[in-house]
Amino acid sequence: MKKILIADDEKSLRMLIAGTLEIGNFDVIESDNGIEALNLATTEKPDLIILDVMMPGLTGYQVCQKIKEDEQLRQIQIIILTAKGQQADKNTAIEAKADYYVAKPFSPAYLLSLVEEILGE
Amino acid sequence: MKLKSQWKYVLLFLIPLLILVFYINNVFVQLKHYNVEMQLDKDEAVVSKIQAQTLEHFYQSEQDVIFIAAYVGKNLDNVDQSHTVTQNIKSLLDSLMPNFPDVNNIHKEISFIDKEGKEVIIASGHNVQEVPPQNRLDQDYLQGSLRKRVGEVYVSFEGPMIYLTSPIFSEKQGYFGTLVLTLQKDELLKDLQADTRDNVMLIEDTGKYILSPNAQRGEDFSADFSPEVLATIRASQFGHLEIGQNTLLTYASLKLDDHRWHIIKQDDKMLITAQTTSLLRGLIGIVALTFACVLGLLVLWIVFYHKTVRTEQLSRENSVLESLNSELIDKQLILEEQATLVEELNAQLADESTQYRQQKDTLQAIIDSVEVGIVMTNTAQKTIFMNKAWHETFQSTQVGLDGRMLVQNALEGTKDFAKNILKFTQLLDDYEESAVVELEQHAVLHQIIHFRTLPCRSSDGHALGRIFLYRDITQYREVDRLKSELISTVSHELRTPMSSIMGFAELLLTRKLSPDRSKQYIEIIHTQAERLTKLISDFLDIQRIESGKHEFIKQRISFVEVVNNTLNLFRDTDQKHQFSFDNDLTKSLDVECDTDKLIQVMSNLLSNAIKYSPQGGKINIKVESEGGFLKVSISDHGLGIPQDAQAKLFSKFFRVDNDDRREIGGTGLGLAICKEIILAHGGKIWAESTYEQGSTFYFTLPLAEPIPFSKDLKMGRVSVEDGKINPEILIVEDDESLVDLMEVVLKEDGFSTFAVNNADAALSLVKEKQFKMIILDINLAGTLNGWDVVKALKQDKNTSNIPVIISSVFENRGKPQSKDINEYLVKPFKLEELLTVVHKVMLGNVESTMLMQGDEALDEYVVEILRQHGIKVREFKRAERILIITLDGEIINEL
Repeated sequence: MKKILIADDEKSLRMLIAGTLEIGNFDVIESDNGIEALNLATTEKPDLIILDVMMPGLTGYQVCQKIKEDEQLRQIQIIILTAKGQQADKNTAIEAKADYYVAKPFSPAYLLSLVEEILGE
Repeated sequence: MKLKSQWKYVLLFLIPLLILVFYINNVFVQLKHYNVEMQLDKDEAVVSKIQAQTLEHFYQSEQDVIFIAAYVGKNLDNVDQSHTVTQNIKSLLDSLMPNFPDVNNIHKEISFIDKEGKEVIIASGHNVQEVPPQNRLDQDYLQGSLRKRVGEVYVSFEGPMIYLTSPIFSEKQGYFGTLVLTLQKDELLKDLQADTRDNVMLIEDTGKYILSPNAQRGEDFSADFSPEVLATIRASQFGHLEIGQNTLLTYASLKLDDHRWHIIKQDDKMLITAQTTSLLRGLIGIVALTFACVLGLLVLWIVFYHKTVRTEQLSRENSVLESLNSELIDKQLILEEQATLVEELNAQLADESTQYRQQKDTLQAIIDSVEVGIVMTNTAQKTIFMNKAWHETFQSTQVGLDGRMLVQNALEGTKDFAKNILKFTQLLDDYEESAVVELEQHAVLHQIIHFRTLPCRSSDGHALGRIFLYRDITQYREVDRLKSELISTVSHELRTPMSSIMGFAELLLTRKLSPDRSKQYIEIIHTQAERLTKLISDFLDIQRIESGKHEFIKQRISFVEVVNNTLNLFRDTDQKHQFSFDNDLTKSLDVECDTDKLIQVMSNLLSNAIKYSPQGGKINIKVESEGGFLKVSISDHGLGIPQDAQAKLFSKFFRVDNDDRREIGGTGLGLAICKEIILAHGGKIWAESTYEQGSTFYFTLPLAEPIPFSKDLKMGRVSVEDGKINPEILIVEDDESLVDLMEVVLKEDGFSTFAVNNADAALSLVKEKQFKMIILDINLAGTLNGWDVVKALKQDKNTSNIPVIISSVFENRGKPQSKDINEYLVKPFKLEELLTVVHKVMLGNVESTMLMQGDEALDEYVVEILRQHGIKVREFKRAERILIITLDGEIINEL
């Protein structure tokens, strides 16, 4: 079972993502801040991390960057999920070496299909 | 008195003429008198002769005799020789004598003594007689020395007589005889007296023998003359001699009778000098007056003659002048016209100059008001114009600065400094190209600048120079940055709830969900939609206030009311939080404000206090008056605000980003809205906080002006609970906010109240309505104070029983009327205190101290009476003749 880490400071969004993914066969863990997310990434070694950008502690970009700089973790797939729907943010996501980028508001169906595609299910 | 001008001149001539005539007369008189003295000074010989005139008679006689003798002698040869000598002499004498008046005098006698010495002829007066031979005297009658002198010329003094002898000689016949003149010395003296003045004297050579009109013979006057004077006189025949200052001696010396005699005339020299001076003065006067007369005449001539000439000349000149004058007037008129024209032109010029100056000033002011620095260089590449902004930005000199320096100053320390300087410097003498450069960070000014240059040409295309424009665009950049940040924040804030709403809605639409799950999802959608709505309304609110479009409806209100209204909104708050409210009741806390907006501020701050103290705790609201401002503080004991976040606390969309408050929702607009509202009311807002210990938010508002005292009776307002008609408590208080507060508290406790703000209204009301209690302020509006009300109440039987509670800022409980009052509250009092007191008084039981005067016999009696009335005594004390009874304040119910 693929393990997915959801990191978002908005509880409702975590619930939404978790609810979206529940019909797939995933092991979902949640975090509400960047530092915890980075720790969980190290300890839990998820297959995929869905990262919100605006998070306390560390932003999604920073978490992403740290993971991608880490030899042990860089194979983790990362989807950056942000409310900022501007080109500049996309560029930042690419610079942070995020694998995917999803703008809010997003369609749960699209996210599910993306996750399934990434995880090859 | 006015005289015709010519008469003045006549007078001018006449007056000296009259004076001249007078003078001439005067001088002639003087001349007549002093001609002698005049001559005296002029011709010494003549003077001497005249001066010797005193002897003249004498001499003359002698000379005459000698002459006669000589004449006779000479003619004797020519006369008829047939006559006798005597006859011949007699006839000669007859013919001669009338010619010699001096000799021919009754006092004198001439005798002819012949060769024989006989007196043959005697001539006296005009009478010449031949002495008959029988009467002929012998010459011996001639006495003394004279006898011896017959035949020679000689003078002899013999007694009172003087004899003069002169012989008669003929050339042919020789001596004939002698003529003898006899005269009396006295007679001579008489002559002298008659002919000379007082100051003539005859002195002997010795100086002793003096013959003077006033002196006796033999009187010695030698002392009057010094030996030197006498010597001088003796030395010459005639002369002058000055003795002392004033005396002038004139003298003549002669030898008589073997003696030398001196005739001396003594004169007062001063007199002579004075006379001479006055004469001289007279002469000078004559000359001067003559000159004056001539001058007068000349003037007259000039006046009378020249006047006519002048008049003609003048009339001629006058006509010339008149023609000249008319010519001049013509010219003047022309000149005046020209002057008017010039004046008009001048005024026009001044107007234009003023206009020009005004236009110039206006243009300068306009250009100076622009915040863009403007400078212009001429074709010589020197600064010729600079506006205020440039001058102030670069502290440059106004004009004359070199173009290169100008460019260097403007671009100093910017990126691509050298390149840009080269670019702009090259343009200095180019009047075609424009250039713009936008540069980061000016080295000196720390600004982002926009530097621009364009050529300046006159309307006919002539190159005038070059204009440089400098603009600080730091703020625009900052605004741009803030704008994009705001957009990104807003979009984030909107997208987050939107993501939830859309996401869950999609799940609900696309998935089969359990009813519980569906409900949960719908609740989330609802919450997020609410959040979105709140966000939108907050955002719109702040936009409206910020842009000044929100209209605040301000009215006067006691801030206590605002607090109470806000607290009402929080009634249902969980039990974790307790509110407390401290307010300064001694002061009026009225403010002019938009009540709804202030309630919004208060509720934002209170809800923040609740939200950010998740563990609960006390939330204290404090309202106080401070220097004309109301100061409100809201303190909590919650999470507190990290130091670094405090500065941004009131910024839009700012939220403290921390684990401890992750779950606490908010738009980040609440405090920004509070700030805008408070600023719009002229107040300030700030926060003080210690992280993890709590925060205090403060704001101030200007207090409303105190309401001026109005004489009109304030109509009391009845605040009654439903169903209660009679108010129970009358509040007499002029502090409206305090009245409001007391009414709220008492109403809550079930009392009905009626409030008035002055004594007169209170006293008229107590007669109309039946109050169970009066709460009375001492300082009241109007002439009567609280104590006056108490006095009036106690004097009226109907009102004397109404309990009175004094509410005053004064702590003077010991007023004489204190027995008439039931309680004394010192402002500010706590509301609980008010309620306690009111309850006690309402129950008719007062904890108080009574004083009674009397001896110990009274004690038992008092105790008994109190007991009978059911009043319990807590303490009994005695101080001399005063009994102090402290009542317990409890009703003894049994009685």
